Amino acid sequence: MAHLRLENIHKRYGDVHAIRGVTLDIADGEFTVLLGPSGCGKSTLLRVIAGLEEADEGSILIDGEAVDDVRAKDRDIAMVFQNYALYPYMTVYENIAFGMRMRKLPQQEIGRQVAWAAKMLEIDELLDRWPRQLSGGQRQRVAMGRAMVRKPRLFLFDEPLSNLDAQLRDGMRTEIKQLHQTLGITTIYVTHDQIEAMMLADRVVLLNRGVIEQQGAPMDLYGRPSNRFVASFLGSPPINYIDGHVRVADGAAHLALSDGSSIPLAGPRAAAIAAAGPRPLTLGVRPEHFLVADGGDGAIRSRVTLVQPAGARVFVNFPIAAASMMGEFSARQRFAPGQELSLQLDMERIVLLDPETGRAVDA
Amino acid sequence: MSSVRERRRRKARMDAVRFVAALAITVVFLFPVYWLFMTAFKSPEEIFSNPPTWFPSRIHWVNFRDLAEDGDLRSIWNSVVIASVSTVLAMLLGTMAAYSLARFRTGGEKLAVWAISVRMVPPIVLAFPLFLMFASLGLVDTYEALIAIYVTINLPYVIWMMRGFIEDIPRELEDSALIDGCSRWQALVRVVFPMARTGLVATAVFAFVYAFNEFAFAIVMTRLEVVTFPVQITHHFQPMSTFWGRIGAMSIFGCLPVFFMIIAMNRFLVRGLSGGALKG
Repeated sequence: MAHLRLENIHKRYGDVHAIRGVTLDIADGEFTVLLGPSGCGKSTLLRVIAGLEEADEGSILIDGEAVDDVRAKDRDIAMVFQNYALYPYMTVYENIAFGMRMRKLPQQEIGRQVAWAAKMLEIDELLDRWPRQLSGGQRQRVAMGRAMVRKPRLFLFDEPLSNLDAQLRDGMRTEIKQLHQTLGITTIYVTHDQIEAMMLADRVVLLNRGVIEQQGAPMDLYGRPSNRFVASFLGSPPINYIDGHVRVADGAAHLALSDGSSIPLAGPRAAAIAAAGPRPLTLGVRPEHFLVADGGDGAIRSRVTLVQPAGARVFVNFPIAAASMMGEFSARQRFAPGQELSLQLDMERIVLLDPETGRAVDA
Repeated sequence: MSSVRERRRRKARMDAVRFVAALAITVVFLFPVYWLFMTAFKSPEEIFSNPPTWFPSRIHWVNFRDLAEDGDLRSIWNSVVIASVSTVLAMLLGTMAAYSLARFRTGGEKLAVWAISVRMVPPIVLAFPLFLMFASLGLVDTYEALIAIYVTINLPYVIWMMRGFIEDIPRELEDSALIDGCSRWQALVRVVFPMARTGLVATAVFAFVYAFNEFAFAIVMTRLEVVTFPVQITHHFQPMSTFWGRIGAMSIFGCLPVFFMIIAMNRFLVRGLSGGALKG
């Protein structure tokens, strides 16, 4: 177990500035997920931590000790790769034992460790097989076993579930989380899958174009995104945006929309919005923040264009000021295309954004 | 039922036709080899008899004995030494250069293309400048001269081939080895070489065969001491007569090293090794 600190890490490939000054503290035993779209620098950052790439600037400290000049093999790190990276000319046993053999551990100890990992991952029947004889899920388990037996200070995962089918992915995700709970090893996990990130992480670090957009507990990022990128990246189906202009009349605020209609802003946050005076404002409304209203003056009126049932939930499309929105409701509520809708916003939970800077606005 | 039987009969007929066709083609292609080899065991009368003798009346070993007594076999030894040493050197240097080109993009794409372009120069163009060079160094008619030349000629080929084989090895395997406790050299030996085993063997076989068969440089660079097999065999084409029996016997000897090498390496030449390394 270890505490990891990255200080102002920069990495360039020719003209491409892949990582631009990342500073990050990862606590002992924490499960941190580096999340971001492809090309955001998350895998590069992981490779820099592993020692497979050298940072152009900045410093990496493990337990307070700079490891910038320490080779990958001496950093006491284990890594699980997206495509498993099993040695095809070695049996499962030899694959798991490889790292320990390189470190010249006694045979008996190696055998004990392999047996422990194999039992834990339920692959003890497969130890004599070749990688080509294994299914995707089994290969992934072997790759995890190879990392586990090392008892490393840091566990690195580079999109380990991307090559598995959806059902297997769910199972392996649970296993990885359980493994972390059991072993308590500081873990850094790279993924582009926000659901995976939300479900696994103690802390999500959202990267975009080589910089950290926001970091924090998954639900903090989801509920209080710091900007439009974070708000858009997290959440499926994605967040809806309603652009308008704040107008204040008699101390009450409402959002005037481009089609001439307006949305009244109510509740405690509305007072703060009103106090800030008239200005352009974007409401970030997650699908579950639309609530069915029972009519009345404060309601937003629209008409259902599309209904997509999904088991316990139903996704409903409707326009607000010509922009298509998607709301998520309980399947117990009935919707049909063409049906009139009367909606309210969950004002305490919606996100307020400055349309010009894209940054979240306090209110 | 009858249509099934009819189909089976038709298939059996087609198989028979295919077999006969394959046999005929094999006979046509193997006939010169058969004729050359048989010539080695014939008496001079049988070699020139008309109608031709398909199989010698008894096995004559005289041609083999003459080659041994006249020192011709020394040329096969020379070829084996020169081809082996030059192949080992070319493989060592070439594989390391290929690794650098493949993994570190040394010199960009241009250096790799330049390397292979060297191979495209007609060898005879280089023969005389090289001869002058080696003559001034006093290295004509030495192992060193031919080994240096064959390493030079084979290097671009080895680099080009091995670069492709190394690029095909998933980088993650090496990364994994580096994290698991290997140095760069250990990763090369424990991951890259085993993964590229088939490529290494195939490339080495071709490099060896080139060096073993090469004629143009060999005839320019050798005199008496290190005459190679392809040069020595021409000595039996004399102005007044051609010693077909000796040429046949020499050809058998000359084929043996390459033949045994390919038999020994066959296992590596045909087996693909990277199955199961990545997602299946």
